[in-house]
Amino acid sequence: MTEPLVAEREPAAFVPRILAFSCTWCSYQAADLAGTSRREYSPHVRIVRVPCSGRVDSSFVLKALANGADGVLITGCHPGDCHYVRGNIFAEKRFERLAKLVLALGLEPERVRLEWISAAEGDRLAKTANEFAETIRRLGPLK
Amino acid sequence: MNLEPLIETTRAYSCISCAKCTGRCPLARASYELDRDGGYSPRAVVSKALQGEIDDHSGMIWDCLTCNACALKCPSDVDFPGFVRQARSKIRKERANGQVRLCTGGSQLSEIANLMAERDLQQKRMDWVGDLQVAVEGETLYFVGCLPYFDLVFPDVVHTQTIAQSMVKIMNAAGIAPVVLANEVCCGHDKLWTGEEDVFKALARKNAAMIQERGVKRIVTSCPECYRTLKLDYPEFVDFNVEVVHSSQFLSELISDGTIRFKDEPETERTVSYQDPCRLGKHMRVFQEPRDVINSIPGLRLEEMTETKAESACCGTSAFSGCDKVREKIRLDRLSQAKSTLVTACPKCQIHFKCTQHTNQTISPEVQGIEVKDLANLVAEAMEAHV
Ligand code: SF4
Ligand code: SF4
Ligand code: SF4
Repeated sequence: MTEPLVAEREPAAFVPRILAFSCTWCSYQAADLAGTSRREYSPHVRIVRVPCSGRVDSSFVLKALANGADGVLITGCHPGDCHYVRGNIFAEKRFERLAKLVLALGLEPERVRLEWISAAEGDRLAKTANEFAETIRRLGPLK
Repeated sequence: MNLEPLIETTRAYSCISCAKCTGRCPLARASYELDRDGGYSPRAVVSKALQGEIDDHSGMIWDCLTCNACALKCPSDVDFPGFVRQARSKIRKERANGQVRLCTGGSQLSEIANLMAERDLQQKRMDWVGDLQVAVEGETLYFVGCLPYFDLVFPDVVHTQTIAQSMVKIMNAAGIAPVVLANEVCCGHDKLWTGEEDVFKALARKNAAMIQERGVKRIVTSCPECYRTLKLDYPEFVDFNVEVVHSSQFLSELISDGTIRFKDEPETERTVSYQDPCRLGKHMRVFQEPRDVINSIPGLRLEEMTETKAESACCGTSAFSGCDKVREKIRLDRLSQAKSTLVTACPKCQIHFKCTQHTNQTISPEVQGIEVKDLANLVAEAMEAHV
């Protein structure tokens, strides 16, 4: 199995490890926009760019959780705006199933989240990232 | 790569290159029929190994279904599936991840098993129990396997939890409230056979500890893979020694000693076929009990398919790996040999058959219409309502 992202953590200062899968057409652009407009957001959210939120197989999310992530965020274009027409609709369907798996595994459902963020919504991306990081910080590390 | 121990323990050194293995292999047969140059060959893998080479580039080490059909034919008693298993572990330990190719459902199950091995989960996997009687401690344990997760990963394809419900219903009728572990983890079968020995051991240790804590004397499993793994592999890899039986053996016992009885008047009369799961039949030599169970159900008549028992092809996929048109052909060939109902005794066979029925665009309506059903469901339906 791959190495955890951060090898050791002190219980006192919990630094959440959060992975975000962001679609290249909308929300990854939103992250760029947040950067160029100097919006600060949680450094604990690490973004992996994917061609479409529809590319995110549930196994990617489970793998992240198995390999050390405390929470996983998936972001895509708003419904109707998908570059591949229906990719985000598939992502949403898949997410509903993933959410049930997460529950069955006994993990807090808040550890996985799906959000629609357009290329123009840099603010929204920063806000979502911060909120999510705060949620995960509150939940604590995945045991 | 030092192959000596591997060649030694699997008796590969005694191979006489007769190619009986390749002749029997369902994968070699199906790939040859699809493409004359396809050429999957266990013999070639053994020959290469004897020259000191593990060929993981051609993918053959990763293609094998580890179904054991070849080994049952081999005049020199070469344990080819054992060879493949050890070679995969070696490759993954020493060089790279190998070429294991899981389908999307299989990748999810694989990550679920990783989570179970790595994390300290408090699962919520007992919804299927409902009003059935289960216990925390006792002599008989029902090992559920990954059924609750199968249903979540393949919701459009299967409802395998009905198998667990049928089993516990039958056990309750026989006066047994089996132990069911609220936090059972995957038995680790797929991890062991795809070369992730460390993950397998972590899972095995967790289950072994939980089972041994509860005073269990006997384990009943629905899945032939759990059966083989708990019975043969746990004692080899971790400290574990508890009697294990497969549901077909357990049911056959309850029927022959009269503990469970069937309704006299069958509602329907039908001819059924039976699919020998590779782990149950060719690995563990359990051929007779499932047949006895089918034949004892009023109204059912078993008609053997053209290839049965040791000669039969498996469902075409193990550990959710390598699924492609060759495996699909194996399944379609099996289904086209079957009567209107194909009885299985393996939840995973059921998944692969139904997945193919669900997704294959070229399938004929007859083959699509074949009902694939677990033995335990048939028994539970035919059982007399106990007072
Ligand atoms: S059947 Fe046995 S002896 Fe013959 S080629 Fe295969 S492994 Fe070798
Ligand atoms: S184990 Fe099965 S799939 Fe593998 S080589 Fe032998 S017969 Fe073929
Ligand atoms: S048939 Fe089996 S291995 Fe192939 S895609 Fe379906 S579930 Fe996966």
